[in-house]
Amino acid sequence: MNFEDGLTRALARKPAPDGFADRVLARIEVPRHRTSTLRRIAAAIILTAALGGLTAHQIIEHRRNEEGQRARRQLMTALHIASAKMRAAQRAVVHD
Amino acid sequence: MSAAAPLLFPTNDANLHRAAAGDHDAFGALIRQHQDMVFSIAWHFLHDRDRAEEIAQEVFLQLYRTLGEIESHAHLIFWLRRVAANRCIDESRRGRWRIVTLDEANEVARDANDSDPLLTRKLGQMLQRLPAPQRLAITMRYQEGLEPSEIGEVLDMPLNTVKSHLRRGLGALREWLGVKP
Repeated sequence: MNFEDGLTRALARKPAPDGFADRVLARIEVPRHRTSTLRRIAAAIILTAALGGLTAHQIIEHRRNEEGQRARRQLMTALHIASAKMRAAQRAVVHD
Repeated sequence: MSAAAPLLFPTNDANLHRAAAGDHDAFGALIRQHQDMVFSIAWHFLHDRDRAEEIAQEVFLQLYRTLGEIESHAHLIFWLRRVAANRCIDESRRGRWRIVTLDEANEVARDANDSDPLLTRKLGQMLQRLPAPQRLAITMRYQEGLEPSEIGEVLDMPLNTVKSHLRRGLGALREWLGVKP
């Protein structure tokens, strides 16, 4: 074997270690996956909190409106009753 | 000079484009297709399996971040060779590579003619004594089978500089091994 043949053999490509590609991919995927998962969790928490807050606010507002309407109706009823009593009393005074 | 490694590689631009679009399976296929080349450049430069793998992994991680800039499969191969070579030079500048002592080299020279496999192994070790540019030029020539002009493009060197590195590097190896030109 001459010198250059020996050099060609000495510098032949060596197989990369077993699992090389998987180790490279793991170094890429782990941080990406972790970051992505954390972002998704954070987004879900924020969205849930926002929706929950909005819903609670709407429920409270709805209850307030209903209570207001109920009080208004009660007031109107009371006013009607009072008015009817006043008219009846007035008629009695006039007849007497 | 004879060149053993193939000059031509199968083009696989579709796989490259899929990898650039974020397809990890396609990127995995690219790694598997070229891992031997990148690992071997680092291995022949450092003669240290763990650090060669570390450098090769870094090359592919850098590739992953740069995939959008790679225009074709031929460009990819050029890019991998260049980045692997640059990483090796960076490594040698850090001074972390193993130095073969003169005693070891003399021992190599004594054993060199015993048998062909031994000559092959010892030649690989002797390469470590060469300056980094000579080692890379010889690696690109005999591992990758590149012509001097192609080596110049990969290593970003003028043609005459490449020829000079090859001539001096091969001359030193012959001298250490007691081989007549």
